[in-house]
Amino acid sequence: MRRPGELVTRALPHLALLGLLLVPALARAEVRVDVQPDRKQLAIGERMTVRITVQTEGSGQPEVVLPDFDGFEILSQQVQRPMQFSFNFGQRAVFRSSSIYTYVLSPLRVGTLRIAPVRVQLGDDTYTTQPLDITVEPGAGGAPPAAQPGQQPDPQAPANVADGVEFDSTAFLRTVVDQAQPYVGQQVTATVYLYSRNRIRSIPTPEQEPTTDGFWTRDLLGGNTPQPRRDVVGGQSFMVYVLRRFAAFPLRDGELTIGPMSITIDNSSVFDVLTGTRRQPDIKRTGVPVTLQVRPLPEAGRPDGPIAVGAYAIGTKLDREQTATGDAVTLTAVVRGRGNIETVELPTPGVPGLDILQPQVKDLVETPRDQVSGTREYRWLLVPQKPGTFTIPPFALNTFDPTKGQYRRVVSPALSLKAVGAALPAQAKPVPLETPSAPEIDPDAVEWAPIRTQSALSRRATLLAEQPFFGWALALPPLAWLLLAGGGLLRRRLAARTVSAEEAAEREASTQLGVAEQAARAGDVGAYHAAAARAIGAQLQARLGESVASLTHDRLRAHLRARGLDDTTLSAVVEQLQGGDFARFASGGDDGAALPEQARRLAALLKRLHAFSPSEEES
Amino acid sequence: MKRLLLALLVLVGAATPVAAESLERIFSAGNEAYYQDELRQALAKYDALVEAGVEDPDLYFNLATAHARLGELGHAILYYERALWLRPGDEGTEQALATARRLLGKRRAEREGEATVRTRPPLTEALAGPFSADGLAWTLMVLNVLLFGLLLARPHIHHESTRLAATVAVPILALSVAASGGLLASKLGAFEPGERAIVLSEGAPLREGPDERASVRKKARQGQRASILGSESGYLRVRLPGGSAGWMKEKDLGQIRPN
Repeated sequence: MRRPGELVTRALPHLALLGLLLVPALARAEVRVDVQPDRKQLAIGERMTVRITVQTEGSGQPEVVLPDFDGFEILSQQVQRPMQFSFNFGQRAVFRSSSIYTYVLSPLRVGTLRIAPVRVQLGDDTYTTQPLDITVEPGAGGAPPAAQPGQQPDPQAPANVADGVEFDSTAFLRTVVDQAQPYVGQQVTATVYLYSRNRIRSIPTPEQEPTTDGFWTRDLLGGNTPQPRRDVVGGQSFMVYVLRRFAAFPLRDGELTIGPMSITIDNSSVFDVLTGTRRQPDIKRTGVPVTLQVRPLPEAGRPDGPIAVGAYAIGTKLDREQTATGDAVTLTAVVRGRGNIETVELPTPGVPGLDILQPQVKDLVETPRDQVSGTREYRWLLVPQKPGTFTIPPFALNTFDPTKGQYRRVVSPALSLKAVGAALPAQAKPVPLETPSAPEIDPDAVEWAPIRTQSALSRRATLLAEQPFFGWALALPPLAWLLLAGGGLLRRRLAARTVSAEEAAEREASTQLGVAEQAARAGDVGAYHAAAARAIGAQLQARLGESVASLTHDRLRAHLRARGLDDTTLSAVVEQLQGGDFARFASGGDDGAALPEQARRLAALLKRLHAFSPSEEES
Repeated sequence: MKRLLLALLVLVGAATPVAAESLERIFSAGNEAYYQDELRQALAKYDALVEAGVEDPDLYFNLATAHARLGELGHAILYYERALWLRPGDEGTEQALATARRLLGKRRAEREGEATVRTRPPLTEALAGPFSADGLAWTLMVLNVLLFGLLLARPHIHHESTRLAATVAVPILALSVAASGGLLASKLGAFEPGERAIVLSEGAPLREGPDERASVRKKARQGQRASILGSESGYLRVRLPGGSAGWMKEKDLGQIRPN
């Protein structure tokens, strides 16, 4: 008898093995869920990837409930199940599975979008992840989110942006102006976008450019076409193309409108013919006008005189500080800054004793980040008329910076010029450009050609090219050519058809003669006469151009005589036809021995008929 | 009223020698005033003839020269251009036009230090320039008839060398028809955005709209070429050579081709 301790000792290994085998089955199910976005912040039009990994180990298949991604458009999704297997020990099974869900998402609205938790149920246990918050910003550098179908304004769109758009599910134009209420002279940037459901094949043809009456405009694209991008409008994904972008400076206050652009999108391709693709119709679209409320410059603190809208600085210099009287010195003033630099005016300084000519003006305009800026360079020639030290007064420019809403006076430093030498004799002052009525050069000093004393005094007459008949006179020769050439072609075709009918009849006559000769050799009287009649009929048809099969012998005789057939031939024709009738209807009327001779006569007759030229038929 | 009566007189007796005599008399009176340095009076006479429907290169030449002597170079250039339109290749007119432009440049240089006056017309206009519109129209018609006549006759020509000559002549005639058609279209301004015109006043404002209060976009130069695109309430919509478009007063522009 064994001791209890010995029994326990001997049973332990077995219990341990059993325990090892039961542990997986009895152990609590293990679940690992990982939600991994590639970014947590993005802009409208951009895309993000969310990777959800679910790994489970337990006694059953897991049930995975994925979020519905509210606020996102799912551009693509993919499921991978790299490992999925089970161990089966006895009655219990242990499943291990691994699934990777990959989603490519595009946000549909601006703000914080929440991706709901992922829920995994395994057996009686439910596992839930934390929700994921994604920050969505307006499109960076591109169009703000487009209005949704039905032109519902986007509450999150910037308030000061003017947006002209009318939704269309295929393609539509959208005009966006970055300032809805600019000041007079302030730059607004207008962009015309094309939203298209499909990628367009070629640059759309502009039918009408946006009108900009009341604006001074400058193109900002400079021939470059930005890369298209994708945007989602009304849950639909569109390709967005920039068609036009220009800076516009309002020239007056009040309502100013940037007119709509019209385009035609050509959907055809040269390869359509090769690929057999049916040509798609062109798409024509017209945008929506955008009206701006242009504000006058504020009255508070407004200095007198012209105002340059923008932010500017002035630099001045003389090419030398000392010169001889009568020698020219160049005074250069450069206005540099941001704004419509081409409209900035500097007055010509007036210094007693200095003759200052009208300036040369050179503009260098740049558009970094779509902001118009640059330099305007004035160059005056100064000619000292007498010796001494001249002070060129500072240049002053009153500016208004619309971004700050402030007036500012920009002043350059004064310059000094020393002239040495003798004083020059007095000269006439340059006449300003605006007074052209007084000619500086005496036109009478020029030797003009003598006037004409003889003239036909021709009266006003309409030009030949503008006479109503001129178009007809030009069209007549080609029309006549077409008519005559076409008529000739038609005639040739008809003639060819007539000739071929005659030839066919001739061939038929020849064929039937062959049949008749064969029947004569065989002694077949009936066949001979039938073929002979057909041969004569065909030959007559070939010569007369009409069938004579329906005519009685008497009428045929009369008809052939009328067409000029000689009596001998006529008699032979009628005799052949009558002989045939007799042979066919009178049994035993012909023994067949004479058939070869008749066949020779038939051949001779057909020859004579072939040579027959019928006269014109009398009406 | 005076002009109306004159026009009526001219119209009623247009075909009679009396009317021709009247026109001659006005023309002579204008010339007489010109020689007496009564340039304004001469211009009035010449203008009366234009109002009466006379459209003659010699009359426009005299008008231009009178304006030139008055220092109104914009008008002078306009009427010289008009005379050349009616009688292309007139050497005297071409020289006078060049003189007017040179004087305009000189005047501008005196005022501004330097000046550039564009004298070369656009290529299409330069090609069609030496030909008159009627001459080109006649040429086109004759060449057209010859071309299609030859096309019709060619199949009936049996003589080998004549047939070969006809074969060679057909493409040459076709090219000539195309060339004369293109030149005629160019002469009539078919390749240009609008009617050719000349700016008459120095610094004439190019406004953004047909209104005195509209902002000035640019100031045009006297003698500068322009294209008239349309008109509205006393203003003309124009495009200047640099591409600037806007509105100018009718009095500041003159159309080269007579109305």
